[in-house]
This record gives sequence, structure tokens and C-alpha cells, in this order.
Amino acid sequence: MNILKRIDQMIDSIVSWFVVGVLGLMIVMAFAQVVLRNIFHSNIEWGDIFLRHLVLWVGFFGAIIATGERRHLKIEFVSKLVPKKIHKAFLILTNIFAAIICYFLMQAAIAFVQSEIETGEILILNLPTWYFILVIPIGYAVIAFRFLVHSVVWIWEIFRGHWEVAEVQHL
Amino acid sequence: MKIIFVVLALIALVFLGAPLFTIIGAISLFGFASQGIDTAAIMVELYRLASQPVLLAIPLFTVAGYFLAESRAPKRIVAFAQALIGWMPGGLAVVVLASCAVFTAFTGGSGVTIVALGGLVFPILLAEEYSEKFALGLVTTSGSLGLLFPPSLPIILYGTFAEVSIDNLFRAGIVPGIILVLVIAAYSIYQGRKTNVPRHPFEWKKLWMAFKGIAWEIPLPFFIIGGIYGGYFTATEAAAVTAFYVFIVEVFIYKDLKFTTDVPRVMRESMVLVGAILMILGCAMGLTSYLIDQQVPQQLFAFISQVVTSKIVFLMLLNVFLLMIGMMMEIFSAIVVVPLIVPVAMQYGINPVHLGIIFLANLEIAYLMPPVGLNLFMASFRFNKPIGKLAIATLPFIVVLFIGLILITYVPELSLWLVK
Repeated sequence: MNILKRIDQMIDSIVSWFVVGVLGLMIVMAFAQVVLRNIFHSNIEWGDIFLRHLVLWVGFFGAIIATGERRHLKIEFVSKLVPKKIHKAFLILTNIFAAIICYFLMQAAIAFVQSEIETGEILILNLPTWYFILVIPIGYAVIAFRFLVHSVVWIWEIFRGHWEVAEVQHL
Repeated sequence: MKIIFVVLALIALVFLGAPLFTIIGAISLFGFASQGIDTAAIMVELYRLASQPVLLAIPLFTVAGYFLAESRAPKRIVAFAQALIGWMPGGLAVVVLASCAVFTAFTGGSGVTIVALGGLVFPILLAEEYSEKFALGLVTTSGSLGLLFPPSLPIILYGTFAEVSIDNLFRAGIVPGIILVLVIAAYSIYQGRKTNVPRHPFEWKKLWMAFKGIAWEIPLPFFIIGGIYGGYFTATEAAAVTAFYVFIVEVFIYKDLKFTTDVPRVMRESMVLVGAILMILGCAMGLTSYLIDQQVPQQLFAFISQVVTSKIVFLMLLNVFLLMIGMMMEIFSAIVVVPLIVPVAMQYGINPVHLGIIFLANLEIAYLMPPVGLNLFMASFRFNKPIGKLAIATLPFIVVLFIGLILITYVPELSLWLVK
């Protein structure tokens, strides 16, 4: 159980640093593009396409973090009204459901990437499109994994008599 | 029979608190699979997002908003607004409104405003002898004012889903946005007069001091609004400049955020929201293409048009429908209904740009509606007050906002005259 938790935390910190790096690059590069375009009337030709694909990357990484902190958008008022024990049961149930759906989404994404590999289309600078969309199946896979790990941990906690749901700290 | 079971199970999961993107994803997966279409089609649709230039604006505006929220910008905004308009009757209330509206526009989400600014202005309102009821109502209401002003994220998302020009939406939002602020301001001034709250004389020196404090942030709204309205910038370019500028100003000029600790933390934090939004958008793209493929909007229109023949009645139903949607989910999830309502509304002769403004104005108000409006929850959490008390405090504001909503909904020219 502790190994699962540790892997989960490791994923979180790796992804967090990645997000910061990619977003930093995006801020600087997007600004540089505007300056180049409006002042020097020229810009990096592949820049805009590249930046838009980076949005997919930070988006999926952000979603991986959101999974760990239970911060996906959802309707919360019911779970806020029920007792803690029931809330935990809700969390386990919805997390398992989410893991299953993300697994199917991952499969759909793998099929999509495979079809892109077959066509071998080039996106920018001799780099094929599928390099950039690889984040989609990987993202869904990690998200599914985290949903599952969290529900397993909660079930394990219940067996040990802990019905509390740990508050997530953020900002 | 099987379908009914699936639908009931999904509805139950929504209310148990399943992440909405998994529900939307489940419907898309189920829909495509039942038609014998490879589910990879969902991913083809998701990937279409990457072909939209405005996609880049979403993370850039979000991170800029988070940088501002985490810096001392809220304090500077309130101080400046106080020096500028605090002398008017009910001036402090107007200060709160104006600050919150600007702040909400920059941060996109409504929850952030209540947490960041509400906590700041609530004690000041009480100290100035406003009643607690009025103060609570005002702060809760102000949390979503400003969604119609650029560079609000919900506008960008609506434009993406309705396939409407975002620059036009930004132009369309300004007058209705001002109307909503004005009706609340009028009510606040009336209340301020009635309860005789103390007034502060206007002082040039104070204004100058506050101005010096906020000097680096003052250009931002002018720059974004002027740039987009003047046609110098696209929304995406404005986002790029804003994100970079805010970063430099907050980190190196005001030094509110530490480069090594605060900056990575806030960046990570902002991308959690972007990730949550992207998950919904991705699955919603798939669902939309499925619904359009199945001609659901046409069927919906055929069904509705049997009962509803006039545009006015349709708009009334639309208001009720959107208020219900907005009460249950926040704006980023509610965007899912856009592809359904746009084609239907167009059949009734409603301009999709105007529809966008109606959509956002309704959600803005729905946030305040008891029993489950999002702002009530945020304010209850922030000020540690029961929902019921907040609902009562917010009620007069909702009534006043409805006047604005009716104007915005039934007078399309208010939205469209800047667009043409």
C-alpha cells in the first residue's frame, strides 16, 4: 500500500515540475511570437502550432494533478450534505467509475495515435504529429491509475477503521 | 430498457460527485460504440482543439489571473478604487463592485474572487457600518460580476464551442456587463443613503498615492480591452502579452511573488484548473460531434417548436433552463450545453453572439441562486456563515440583477451594437 502511495506521490512531483517547465516555456515563447510578429514582422513559423500542442501537454499534466487533489469539475452539493462515511463511499464509487472510463478513453487514444503513426504525417520541423499527441493516451493512463490508487487507498483505510477523508491542501 | 438503466446510473453518478468529464466521456464512448463507430473518433475531435488558435489563450490568461490573485494586486485594486470613488454615497460598496468585476474578468472563475477579494473587503464593509446582511450579499454577488468583460475565460470557451468569433463576443459583452454592474451599484448607493454610512471626502493626495501603488497594473485592462477592441490584438496575443507582463511586474517589480517558491506553486496551481477544463472540453468535443451526427439539435428543435412558437417564450424558457444548469454546475462544465442550444436558438432567429451573452449573464446570476448556487457555497466557506443566511442576504441582489438580465435578454441591440 505504501508503495502505491509513494508511486502516486512521485508521479505528482514529476508532473508538477514538468508543468512548471512547459508553462514557463509557453509564457516566454508566446510573448516572443507577439513581439516578433508586431515589431519585426516575422515570427517562428512553427511556433503557434507548437504552442497549441503544448497546451495539450500542460492540460493533461494539470489534469493528472487535479486527479490527485480531487479537483476535477463536478457537482458537489450532494456530497457536501451527506455524512462523512457516506461521502467516502461516494468517493470510492465515483473514483472507480472514473478509472474505468479513463481506461476506455486511453484505449480510444491509443487507437488514435496508432492511426497517426501509420499516416506518418509531419507536424513541424520533421517531427511527426504522433510525438505531440502521445500525451493523450499517457495522460488518460496516468489519470486512470491515480483514480484507482486513491480508491484502493480509501478502501484500505476503511478496513483499518478510518472513515475520515483527508482534506486536500492547496494554496 | 438498457438505455434507461444507463441513463439513470449516469445521472446518479453525477449527483454522487463523479468528475463531469468522465460522465461526458462515458456518454461519448457509449454513443460512438453503439453506432459501431471506432471510439478513436472522440480523440480526433479532442485533437481538433489544437487547431484552434484561441486554445493558447486559456492557460495564459489563467496563469496571469492566478499570479494577480496571489500577489498583493487585490489590495492595490481596492485601495485605488477607494481613493477614486470612495467619496460617493455608498461609495465603498461601489468600490467593492468595481474591484470584484475587474478581478473576476481577469481570473475567469467566480470562486477565486470571493476567496481572494471577498476576504479583503468584507471586514472593511463592516467597519464602515454597512449591515452584515448587506455586506454578505454584496460580496457574494460581486463574486461573479465581471464574467462578461474581457478577458473572461468563459467567453473564450463559449466562442470555441459555439464557433463564434471571440473578439466579437468580447465586444458584445461590454455593455451588458456594465448594465449588470450598474444595477447593483444603483441598489448599493440607495442602500448607502438609506443607512447613512459615513462618507469620506475625496482627496487628490490619497488618489495619487494609490495610483502610484498600482501604476504598473493600471495599464493592463486598458491594454487588453483597447488592444482587442481596437483590432490591434487577437485574444490570444493579448493573453500572451498579459501573462508575460504580469509575471514580470509581480515577480520583479512589485516582488510580491518569490521566483523560486511562489512562482512554481502558482503556475502548478493554475494548470490544475486548466487541466480540469481541458478534460471537460476534450470529452465535450466528442459528445458534440456525436450529437450533431445524430441530429439531436434538429430533433430538439422539432420537439420544442411544437410547443413554443414565439421567440419571446423561447427566451423565457431558455432563461429558466440556463438558471437551473448554472445553479448546479460552474461555468466550465455548463459549456457542454452550448452546442445543443446554439442551433436551436438560431432557428428562433437569435444571434449566436447575443446568445453567448444571455448564456453567461444567466449563469452569473444562477451562481447566486439558492439552494445550491456556487457563490453561496464559496461565500459560506470563506466567511463561515450558513448557506441559508447567505441566501437571504443575496436575495435583494438577485431581484435587482433580474432587471438587468431581462434587459440583456430581450434587447439584443445592447449586445450587438458594438459588434456591427
